Amino acid sequence: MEEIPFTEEQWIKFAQNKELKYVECQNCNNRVIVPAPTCKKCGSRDLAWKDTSGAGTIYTYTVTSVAPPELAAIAPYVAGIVELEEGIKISSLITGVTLGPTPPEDLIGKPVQLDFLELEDRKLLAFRLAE
Amino acid sequence: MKSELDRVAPPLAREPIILGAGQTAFMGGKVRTKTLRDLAGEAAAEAMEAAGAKAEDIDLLIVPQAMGGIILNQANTSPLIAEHLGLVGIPSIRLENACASGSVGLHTALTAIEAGWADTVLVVGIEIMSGISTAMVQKVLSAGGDATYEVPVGATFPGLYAMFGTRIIHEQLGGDFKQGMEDLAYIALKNHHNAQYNKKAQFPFTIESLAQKRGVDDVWEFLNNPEFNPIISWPLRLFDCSPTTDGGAACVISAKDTAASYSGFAHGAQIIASAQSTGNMPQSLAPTLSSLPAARLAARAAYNRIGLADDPEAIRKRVSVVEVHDCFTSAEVLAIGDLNLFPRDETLAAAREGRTAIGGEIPVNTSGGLKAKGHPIAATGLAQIYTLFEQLNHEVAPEVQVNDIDLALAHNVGGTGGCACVNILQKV
Repeated sequence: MEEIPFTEEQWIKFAQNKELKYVECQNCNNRVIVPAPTCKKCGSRDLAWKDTSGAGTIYTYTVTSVAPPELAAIAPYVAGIVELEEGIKISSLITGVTLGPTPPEDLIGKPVQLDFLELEDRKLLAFRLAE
Repeated sequence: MKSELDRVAPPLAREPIILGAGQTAFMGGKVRTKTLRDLAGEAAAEAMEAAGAKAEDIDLLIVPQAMGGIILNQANTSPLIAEHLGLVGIPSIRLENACASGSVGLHTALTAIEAGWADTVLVVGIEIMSGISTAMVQKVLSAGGDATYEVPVGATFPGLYAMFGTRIIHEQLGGDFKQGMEDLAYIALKNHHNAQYNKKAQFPFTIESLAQKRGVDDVWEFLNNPEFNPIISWPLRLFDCSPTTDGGAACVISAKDTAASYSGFAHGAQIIASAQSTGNMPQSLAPTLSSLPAARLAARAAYNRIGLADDPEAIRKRVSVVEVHDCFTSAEVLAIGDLNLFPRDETLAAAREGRTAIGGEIPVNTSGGLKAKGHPIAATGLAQIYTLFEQLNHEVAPEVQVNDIDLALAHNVGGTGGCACVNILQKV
């Protein structure tokens, strides 16, 4: 069987297939979201792709009104950094937040679950705020 | 292997001295009035004149330039500018580290001087951002971020600085965003207050005067009205953001043994510490989002280099005036914490309490900062040096002049913390 390469391009391919994966070093267990040919911590080449559980909490967030052209269709939107159960922090869109005229309550620490967003032909990494 | 100190803030054995500095007026808007050549020519002429240097004195030209490749389809900028400045023949480099390009250019000039490859270096930072569509502005602002892990999912430049703001307000105020956003607005009020005395600032007026012009007497009524101060990326509003700017800034640096022969030596400013550090990218990998680790490391190393204790009171005793990278108001909060000017939990309210104002405990951004002076990306770091050079020589308006300056400090950040520089200057 051909080995799946530990490349950023491969991570993007997984994400476009709505899979959020990370690379785990089989020598020192260091986990990274940005793949590299060797472990950043111990230098080992003994690596493995792993699935995230999809569970995490909001580390920080923003509500963007003035959106870049690629995201204008979903503005205003919530974007943030999610801390995964596996201990990895990653930038992501956050869905399921009710946006009223007043700012949202402090969402830091709230639980979220993996939820890709489809926008035209792109799959965007998103996490949904737990009800 | 070098120590952290020797890597980040290397020894400056040749005692580099800034002989002269220059800055164009900063401007922006729909209509472009200058080219890259025009800006470089203007900034360099002022710096060279102040230094008392001629073209034949320059051993190396460094041109910090960030976005010309995208906006103007103009790369290969160093020969373009070298030719224009009469410097054909000498080595030249165009250099890009996003918004820290200017300071990285200065730091790189010092590496050449310390190596003995150059005695005297001209650094000219230039940026054009006017006359482009809003979509192009967005594209340019995204270019400093991570094109895979950040930009597609909304972690844009304003978006990430907003996330820093959210995290800071969460940590310092338990999530009281009303007060937190007011604290941030005080930073904008202070920087605009300072900018009114800076004749080269893009916005040389107070927010109070702008409010009155729009028929609103109470500045808080103005700032809390979404018509005047709309949300950009909550909790950041329009008046929390620096503008897009055209501008150039330059300086001439020479080793002490060669500097003495220039007329500029009499008003020279010695660089006693120059620190450059790299942070995480994507920013989500950083251990914290209420500090920029690269800036903290650069500050610690710079203080260490000059034997200054990394302690707020000790720092404020010696550092008299500071220019920090306030591309957003939340960035100024990060900056004064990373520079350790105040204990971390006192940084958000520092401007509200007047501690960073002229006459306060430590004046921050006497030029108006990026917020009101303007932010021509690759020129910004050198424009900070220009302001400090003027401060050290008592050349700024009396209303913003800091007296009895011991040390002057510049803090410049690239992107959302991927690069950070801290330079400390002292009058020769």
